[in-house]
This record gives sequence, structure tokens and C-alpha cells, in this order.
Amino acid sequence: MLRLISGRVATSLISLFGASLIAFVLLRLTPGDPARLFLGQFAGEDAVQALRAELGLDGSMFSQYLIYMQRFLSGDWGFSYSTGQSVAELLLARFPATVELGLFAFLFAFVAAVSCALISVYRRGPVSDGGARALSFFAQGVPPFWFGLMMLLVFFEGFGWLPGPEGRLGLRVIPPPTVTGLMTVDALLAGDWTAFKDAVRHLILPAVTLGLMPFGFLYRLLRANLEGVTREPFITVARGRGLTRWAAYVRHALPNAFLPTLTAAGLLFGQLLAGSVLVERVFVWPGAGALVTDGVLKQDFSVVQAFILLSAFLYVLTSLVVDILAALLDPRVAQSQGGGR
Amino acid sequence: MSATNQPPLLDVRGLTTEFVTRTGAVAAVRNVSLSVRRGEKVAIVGESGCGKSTLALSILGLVDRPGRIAAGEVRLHGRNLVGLSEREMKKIRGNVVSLIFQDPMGALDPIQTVGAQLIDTLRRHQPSLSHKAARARAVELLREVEVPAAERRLDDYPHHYSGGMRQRVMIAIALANSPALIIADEPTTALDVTTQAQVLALLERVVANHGVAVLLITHNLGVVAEFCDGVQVMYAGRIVERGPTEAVLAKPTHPYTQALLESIPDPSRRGDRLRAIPGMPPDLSAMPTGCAFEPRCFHGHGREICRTRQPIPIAIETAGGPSLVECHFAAERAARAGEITAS
Repeated sequence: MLRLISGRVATSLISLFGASLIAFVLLRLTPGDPARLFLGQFAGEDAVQALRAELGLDGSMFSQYLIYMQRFLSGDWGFSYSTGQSVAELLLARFPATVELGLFAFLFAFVAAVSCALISVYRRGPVSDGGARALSFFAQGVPPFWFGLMMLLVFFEGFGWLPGPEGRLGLRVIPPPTVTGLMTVDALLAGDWTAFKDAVRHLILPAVTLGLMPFGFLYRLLRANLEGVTREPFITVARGRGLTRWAAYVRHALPNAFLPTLTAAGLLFGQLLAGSVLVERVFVWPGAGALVTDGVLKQDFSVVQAFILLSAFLYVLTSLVVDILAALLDPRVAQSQGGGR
Repeated sequence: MSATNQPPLLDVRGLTTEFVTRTGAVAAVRNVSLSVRRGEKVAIVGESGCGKSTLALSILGLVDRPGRIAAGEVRLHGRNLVGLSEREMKKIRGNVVSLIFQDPMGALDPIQTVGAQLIDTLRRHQPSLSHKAARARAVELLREVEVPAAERRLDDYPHHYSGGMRQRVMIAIALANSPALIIADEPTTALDVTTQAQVLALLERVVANHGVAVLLITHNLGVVAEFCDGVQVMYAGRIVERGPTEAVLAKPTHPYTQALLESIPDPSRRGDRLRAIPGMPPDLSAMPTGCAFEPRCFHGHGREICRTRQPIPIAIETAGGPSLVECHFAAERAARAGEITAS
């Protein structure tokens, strides 16, 4: 097991190195001069040259990369040319909102996919079957921004059950002191029940909107696996031992059907954590999405680069966790990959 | 053998199981009746696809949609199990009647330890048993089925076990709650010959020790001869001949049973051609109107009655006890068989 984990950590580090390299090189290769952009078109050539030197832009690509990584690792992520603020400050203020939305979106996608798959395979009826299938096609096909707007129309405008596009908390709710940056967690830490409930209510619509596509995908994957596993002899044997069909499905079929989808689920989770610009726009969610699109448009590459690295880190981290989880859940994986037993 | 007047432990009457398909219902088990007394070992033999496994699953109520029990009763200790809810059935399965499945490789959940599955079986039916006590009992059971280093092997996963060892585990699971009946569906088919003999010997011994009745489903007539008191020969969903093992195997009355026996290589007939049964079993969705075996039968020679009328069971008196044979010419054939042995 230890060997497995250390191997995975090593590959993760290599992936991160690759991601940092690609992010760095691609952004440097795009046309445009950040120093010129920052100083504006009326600045003198001397001033531009001075800034280029200060930013290290006049050095070789290699030395630029080394300087950047050194600073990045020591917590200095540079500053944003367009706003003049420190990138670390900017991102850390907004990234948690994106991560929190991603977490809830995944939670929704996962719980909904597991329940729908279980029920449709358990019931085997044409109605529940067709209904769930239609739902999953819809989920995978519908554009999220349009769906988000429809959700707002129905649940905010129509019924008034859920808050409208006003960000993470209602106007009259005092935000809890920031500890983790995740509103729900901070509210719980502060023991602020009102803020917690409000934060959750604000999360529902954007999380469902963002989680819809992953739900459709996971549902179809899980359902196909589940259908196969329920035909395995060990399900019949489990029932022959005294489990009801439902118990045999939940205790034996579901874990076995889930294992092959674990990797896909991890990838989806990583993607969700990186956020979605469109969904954040629709719900006026103060996440990193808008920051990054602005950064791209304004060639504010400290911001974009830091965002890419941060997303890559989260992505690699989820893959690592998924691999370890797979080894923990499936004894055969641990053994085949040098973990022994 | 136990006294004949004792009420049967398992009494299946007129059981019909069908699968609903787009083109209509297809019956895999047709009007099957059989009984198993306490401690009795009964075999069901037949070739692949004749409905043996479906019969086994029907008895335990494990036939799922699109399959269903269309008619008949399954009486266990006199109580009809057909139509009982899943909640009622789970108290019976693994407790009063347990199941040994044909494929030991796939019969255990690959991501749970063998011990977890054994302990789960124990505690489901004996909720008062503590985890520790259940574990101790599980070790005992593994020892009884001769799994070496039982204590340690309890925490191993199924993929650490060989096929023969897994089948021993299955026997341990089947025995866990001291059932009255074990339904063993081809318990040795997937094993190599040496392991088959060992597992069979083990099954025979534990069954004798516990006085458990066994309904053995197999296509291996050698196993039947060695192991079972009574035999039922199944063809195309029907039981075509049943009787005491010795009588049926020594003097088969139904042409199908005879053909089945003649298709086994016999060292004393070395040099002869092996006699395979010509043709294929009938398509269950397009059954002949008369006798299901008629198209392959060497006896009927296309006689009118065989093609037009479904034979009814005819009682035949044999040396070992009464037999029932579903053949229009059963009496004639039995008499002739008697003459042959007499002369």
C-alpha cells in the first residue's frame, strides 16, 4: 500500500511539473507585451523596458520559468497587471467560492446518479427505466447557462422558494468570519445556523445546474455497470444467504459497480472544482471563473498562470485520492500494483 | 433411507416457471413435481438448458423478472413458498434452505473478505450472535470444510482462494445456519477432476454429519450414482423419469435416460463408437405438441401417438421402489428390460 501511494505521489509531481511548464510556455508564446499593456499606449519606451526588466521579462524563457516557480512556491504569485492587486490575494478570495460550488455540484451529481441508477436497475420496469434514461439524456444535452436561467425562472421568479442570483449569501445575512473560505464550513465553525442555511439555499440552484452534466454521465456509466453486476452469480448467492434483493444490490452490487466508475468520477470532480464561467455568470457567483476569463482577455497572465497551476494541483490531488481510494476499496488493485496484501 | 410415510421436507407440485418475452411466455420449467424427505439426497440430471437451474432458483423464489412462477406450489415443511414476500423469503434462504452455486469463481463478492461474507450469513439469521462469537463460529465452519489455516484465511479475499477452496467456502456458508435442505447447483462442474472428487467427498461427509437433505443438480451421472438416493431426469423443462438411483441408472425406462447413459464412455465397450444423442433439445418457445423427446427418440420411430400426445407419467415397479416415467411405451419398455435382464 505504501509503495502504491509513494508511486502515485511521484507521478502526481511529474504531472504538476508538466502542467506548470505548459501553462508557462503557452502564455509566453501568445502575442502581446504585458509591460506595454500594463503601462498603457502612452508610456515611453524606456518605462516599458524598465518594467520588462523588473518583471524579469527580458531574461531567457528558462530563467523566467525558474524565477516564476521559485516565487510561486514561496507564496509570491505575482500581481495582476489589470487590477494591480496581488494574484494570491485575488485568487484566494475567489477560488474557495468556486471550490465550494464544485463540491456541492459533485455531491448532487453523485447522490442523484447513485440513487437513480439503483432505483432504475432495481425496478426494471419500462417506466422508471425510460424516465431515468430520458432524464440522463436531458442532463447531458442541455446547455447549463440556459438550464440555470430556467431554474431561476421557476424556483426564484415563479415559486420564490430559492434565492435569486445574488451570490453566496443573502444581503441581510452577515457572513461568518473567514476560516476556510467555504461559506458553509465557516458558518458551521462559527456556529451560525442562519448563515449556514442561507449559504446552502444559495448553493442549491447553481450546484444543480453545474452538476447536471456530470450527473447524466455518472448515471449512465453507473447504471450500465450495475446492470452487469446484478447478473453476477454472487448477487444470487447473496440473496441465497438471506439478503433481500434490495440489500444484495446495495451491499454487493453497488460497491462492485461503483469501482470502475471511480476514476471517471474523480476526473469529473476535478473538472467541477475548476469551476464553470457560464454558471458562475448566471448566478453572479463570486468565483474564480470571471476573474480568469478577464485575465485571459487582458493578457493578465500572472492570474491565468496561477489559476492553471491551482486547478492542476486540485486535479492531480483528486486523481491521487481516487487512486488511493480504489486501492483501499478493491483488494485486487492493491495486490496487482505491488501493494501485497 | 428414511421412512416412506414421513411427510416430505420439500414438496414441489406442478411447478411451472416461465419467462415473458416479446413473443410470449416461454416455460423453462413445466409442471414439475418432486419431493425431498428429511436427510434424503435427490439428484436432478439433464443436459444444459433443460431447466435444472431455473428449477433450483424457482424453489428459492430467486427467479426475477422477466421470469415468474406461473403455476404450482413449493411446500417447505408444508408451507407454500410461492408468492411469499422477499422479507419472508429472506428468513428461509440461507437458514432453512441454502444454496451452493455452480461457479465458485463468481459466487463470492470479490471485494469483501471471505470471513465478512461468512459472518454476515451467520449474523443475519442469528442476530443475537456477537461479532466475536460469529467469527469463532466462522473459523469452526472453515475448519469443518477443511480450509487449511482457517483463522488466517478468514481475512483473505476470494481471489486469494483456489476454485476448490472457494467451493469449500460455499459449502461452509451453506452449512452456516444448520439448514434442513441444501440445493447444490452443479457444485463441482467448474472444478478439475481431482478437486471435484475431494469437494464431493467433503459434501457427502458434512451432509451425513449434519443430516441435511440435498437437492443436487448435475449433468454428471457418475456423481448421481455415487451420491444420491433418488434421481429425477429432466428434459426440456419436464421431469421425464424419476425413481431410486440404482433402478433408474441400471434399467432406464425412458428412451432419453437410456440415451443419456449410453452417451457416457464405457471402458468395457472400448472400440465401439460413442453414442451421442442425435439432434438438439427442442426450442422452448416452439415445443412439439407431443412428446418433447420424440424428434430425437430412437424408440418411437415417428409413431403417431408420440407426435400428437404429451405422455402422462406411468408408474413402473422396480426392484428399488416405484419409478415414474413420462413415455407412452414405458410399460412395454420396462417389461422388455425385465426380460433382457431375466434371460
